[in-house]
Amino acid sequence: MGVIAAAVGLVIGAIVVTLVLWGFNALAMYGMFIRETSVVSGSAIYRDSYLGVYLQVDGVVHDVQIVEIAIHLQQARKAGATPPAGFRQVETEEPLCPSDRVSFIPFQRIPPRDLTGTGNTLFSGTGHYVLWCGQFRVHHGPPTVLKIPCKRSLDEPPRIGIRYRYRVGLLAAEEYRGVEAGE
Amino acid sequence: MNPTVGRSNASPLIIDGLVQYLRLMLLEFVAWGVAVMAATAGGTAAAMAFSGWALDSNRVPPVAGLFVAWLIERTRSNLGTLGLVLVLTSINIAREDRNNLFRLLTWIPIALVFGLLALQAYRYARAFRDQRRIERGSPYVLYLRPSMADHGSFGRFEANLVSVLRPIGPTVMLSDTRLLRRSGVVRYHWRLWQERIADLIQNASIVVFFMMPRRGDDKPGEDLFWEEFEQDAVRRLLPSGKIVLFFREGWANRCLPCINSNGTVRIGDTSLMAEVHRILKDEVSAKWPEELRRARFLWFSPGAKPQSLGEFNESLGSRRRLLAELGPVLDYCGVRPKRDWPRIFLSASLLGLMLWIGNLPAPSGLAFAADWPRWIKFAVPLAIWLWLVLKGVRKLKREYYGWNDYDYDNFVLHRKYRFKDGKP
Repeated sequence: MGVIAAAVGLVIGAIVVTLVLWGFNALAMYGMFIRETSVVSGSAIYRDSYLGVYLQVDGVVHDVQIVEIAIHLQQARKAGATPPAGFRQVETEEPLCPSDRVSFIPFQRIPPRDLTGTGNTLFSGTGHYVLWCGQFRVHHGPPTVLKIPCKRSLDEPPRIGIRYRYRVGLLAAEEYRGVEAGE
Repeated sequence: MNPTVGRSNASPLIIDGLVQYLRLMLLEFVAWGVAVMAATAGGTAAAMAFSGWALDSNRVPPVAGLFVAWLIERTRSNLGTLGLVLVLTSINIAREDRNNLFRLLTWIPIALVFGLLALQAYRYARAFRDQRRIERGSPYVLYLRPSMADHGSFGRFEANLVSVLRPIGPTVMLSDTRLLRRSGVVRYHWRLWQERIADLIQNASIVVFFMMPRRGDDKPGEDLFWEEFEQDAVRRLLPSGKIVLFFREGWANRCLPCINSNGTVRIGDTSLMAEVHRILKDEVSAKWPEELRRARFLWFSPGAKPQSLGEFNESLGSRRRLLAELGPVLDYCGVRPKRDWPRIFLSASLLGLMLWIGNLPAPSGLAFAADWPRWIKFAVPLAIWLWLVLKGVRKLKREYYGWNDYDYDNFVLHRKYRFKDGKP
């Protein structure tokens, strides 16, 4: 009887713990989904040999990774920018499709209707932006620096957009934003 | 390429060399002594206030540990202490134990006053130590702020700024207040400051300018902008990567038109950003950010390129947001941000101490006060309570009539600096 009682107690305890964890998880996910601010914010600063993108994570999220970087084409050419480690350039002239690249907009000023049309978006690689794909993990704590090699720095603010993925508990999510450069 | 922070061989702060150094060391030790004595007295008063709550009346109750925590971090633990006192008082009244209630009301204010004294002595000791380090040629940060900032509620921001920049070195600022805030740093009399400002700027590792429309030197109509920007010393430093401008969020493009509408500053319908640009356009040929939006810092990185230090979420909290914003500057100086885990470890240890401290015998340093005449025991706490209440009312009044941190559209200049038609 004692063994059975212990086993039943263990099972009930495991269920209670699981429910509590699910509750916290649900609360965390709900909190993340109703928040208005983005999970990753940052600044882009020209240095002598690279463009430093200082990224800061906020919120109850984990496994944050940058998956795409867009940099203004003319600026990239003038600065001699090359993809950072772990990234490769994607040559595309096709407009981004809203169905499979839902959130891929470099700057949030773009109205959503631009995504629904058949024409090119600002970020579709049609001559305005260079697109780099890869993976770069961003950690909690002090800002994580993503270094984009450059041959020279420019006299104008960098125009950069990023797309990133993160996990909230059991769910994965994706967002985009322009790295504010005070332009 | 990074100019890693090093010792300043030409420290401008040496007055009398060794004599000055020894004087600062003496002051530091005296301040440490006062801090220890005041903390002991305050802890004793707290223990006596709560003595009825220990399991053994001859032992210090665990709640006395709160006082220690309050000494370490006054702002946060104030709330904890207040909540604890309220809970204890409620329980006390519920138990109709009036004696404990009166003892609480008697000893708590004395503990608070000694706690404040201990905090101030500790901050002065820290300031003397920092000044001593600067005298020896250690690197430092120069924080140039308008004197009117003393009258605003910038305490938390400045404390976080000093804390974030601490890996570079101590911060030097000009302040008119006698009570040191959490940002209590090396301070100089304003006359000495005026004489040495050029040298201070020249030898600082980083110079942070708190941008406001006026310096607040009580020269109506004359000091519309920072005098330092008129000096060649600052202009020569611009390409060196040392200069960081801080604009309060939204001020760059809103504050001056608002002030203009109040009839206080007459420099046209312009913005603070445009004013900085006007003064420095010859020295900074690189393209300026056209709009700062919610960004707060502008850094003249090497080559005198004005770069915005980015917009970071307010939800990060004041300190983490500052750390993210100033990350490139710390990176440029070759220093790493200070780790938070020692502070967290210390806080956790204090919590553990609070549970363990119940095993300590009660201190009896103030036990002699039990024999004092009753009128003294009544008058002293009453006076302290009155002082605390008046202080709080005055602070509330100052907040009400002073700066409004978050409402930029309804910006009103502090009444001390408000004038019309050129007359104060």
